[in-house]
Amino acid sequence: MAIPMISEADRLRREVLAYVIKAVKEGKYEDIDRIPIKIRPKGQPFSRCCIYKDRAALRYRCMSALGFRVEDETDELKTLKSYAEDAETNPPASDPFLTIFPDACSACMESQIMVTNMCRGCLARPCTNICPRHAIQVRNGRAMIAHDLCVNCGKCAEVCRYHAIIQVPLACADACPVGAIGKTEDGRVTVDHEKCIRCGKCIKACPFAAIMQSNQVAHVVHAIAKGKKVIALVAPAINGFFPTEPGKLYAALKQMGFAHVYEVARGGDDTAEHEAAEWAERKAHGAPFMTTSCCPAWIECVERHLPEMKPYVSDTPTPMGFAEMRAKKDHPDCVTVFIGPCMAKRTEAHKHGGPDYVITAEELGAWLMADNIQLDDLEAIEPEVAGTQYGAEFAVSGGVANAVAHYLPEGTPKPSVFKINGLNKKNVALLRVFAKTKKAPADIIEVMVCPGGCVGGPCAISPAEDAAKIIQKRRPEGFEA
Amino acid sequence: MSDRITVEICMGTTCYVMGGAQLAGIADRLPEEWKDRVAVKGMRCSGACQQGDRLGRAPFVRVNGELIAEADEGKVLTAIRAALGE
Repeated sequence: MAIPMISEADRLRREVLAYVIKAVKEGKYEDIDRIPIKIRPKGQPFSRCCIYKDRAALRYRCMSALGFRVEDETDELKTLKSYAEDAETNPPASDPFLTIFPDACSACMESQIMVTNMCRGCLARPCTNICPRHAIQVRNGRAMIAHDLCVNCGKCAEVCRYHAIIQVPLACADACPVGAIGKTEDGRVTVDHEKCIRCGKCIKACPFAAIMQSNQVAHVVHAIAKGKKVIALVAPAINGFFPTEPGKLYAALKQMGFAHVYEVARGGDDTAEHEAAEWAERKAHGAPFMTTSCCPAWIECVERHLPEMKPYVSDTPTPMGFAEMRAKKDHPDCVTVFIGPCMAKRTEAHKHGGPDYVITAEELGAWLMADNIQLDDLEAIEPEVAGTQYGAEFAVSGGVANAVAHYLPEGTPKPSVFKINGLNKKNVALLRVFAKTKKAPADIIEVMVCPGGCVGGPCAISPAEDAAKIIQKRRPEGFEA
Repeated sequence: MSDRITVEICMGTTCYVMGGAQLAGIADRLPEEWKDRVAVKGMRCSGACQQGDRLGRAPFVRVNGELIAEADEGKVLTAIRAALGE
């Protein structure tokens, strides 16, 4: 299976974050205004139409790295230095954390089937026969698609022997599981934040990186610099993203200034234990099925698109929720920072009033780059709060349901499991059918909006398969999978 | 064994975050006929990422001692092919 390569857009985003973090840490805010020139110096190659557009896009990338949304810009001449100063005293931008730089959008065509001039108007014409809508006719020696009839099924593209018919994608809208992406009059991307479930798939999908997120790492750097007791709540997926044992990463977090490290895997154990008890009780009351509750983008999907599913969604708090409660109870004066591969966790934290900040695996990676920390050089340490392997495997598709089964109260029969491993338009429709008919193919529906589970999150560092392998390699003897 | 091509993927933090993570599994993706002739291993940070102006030169990979900047799968495979004399 092909491993998705890291894109140039991913690399630029991480490089920008690293420079921004370094400048903020050192208090050299004026350096941030130089980042676009540093990355796109005079006379060197550029990626967009000209070097100046590259630099303008990089400027907005710096702005979002500092915690601001492009939409909140009121003065185009405002320096990045003064944004950095604002970040010192003002909170970061709030939900929605998605932000768009419309001028970076290439105004791609609507997703459609197109006949290219490779078409030879052949005698066989399989395209005309296969089309279920009779939308194709050959005129003047070339196949023509009636776009008012075409339903984009792609069958004609499959049968053409010359590969003359192609499916032109609209990357952002095709990736969105809920149809939240639209276009402005001039064809540029818009996001309907009422429909958006905060999953971040469009950010990953857009080849022009026109869709970005507002980060929070600068604010965390400031909180540490101000001497606050900052606690890292480390999501289990994170431990699949670095080529080292978790203890070394925790030592790095301490070196970066975090006071304590809590494994969110422990919150995963708490979630699984509660969810197991909840299922046993629901089943006793005749519930036909239950869905998991730990994926925040799934919760947003239910809230915004599948209200009929609400009675079947577990009420148990998420691993992040449990970790947050524990940290605030142990250290009432602390500032909590969740670190994970997820975008939607920011929205979850915003809705529940905590953790105080959410940073992504990318922000953590860029921070390690900025500090030039070599994980292998560090002495591994124990986290203040540790989870079990069951909690750790919440990060991988199948892991949540497995943990719930492990924690079932004695005498409860093992539930059957149906996995949604990556949400898309098709399985959203399927889930709607489950809710409407009050019938599902299994007792527990484990919903992971990202393919592969959290390890496949939009802000992940490694390929999901590799991260899953690294996590599963740590299974102790006697682990039940 | 000495005529084996060595491919060293930098496992330093900057290289790993800037794309080394995607190269880490390259050994499994080499063509079958190369597998006995190419040895892939990790290497510690060579410090190359801290030289020059930009972190964006990472990730680094060394093929038979020759350092490749902004390494990706294509560049590494091309370097191996050249080293094998193919």
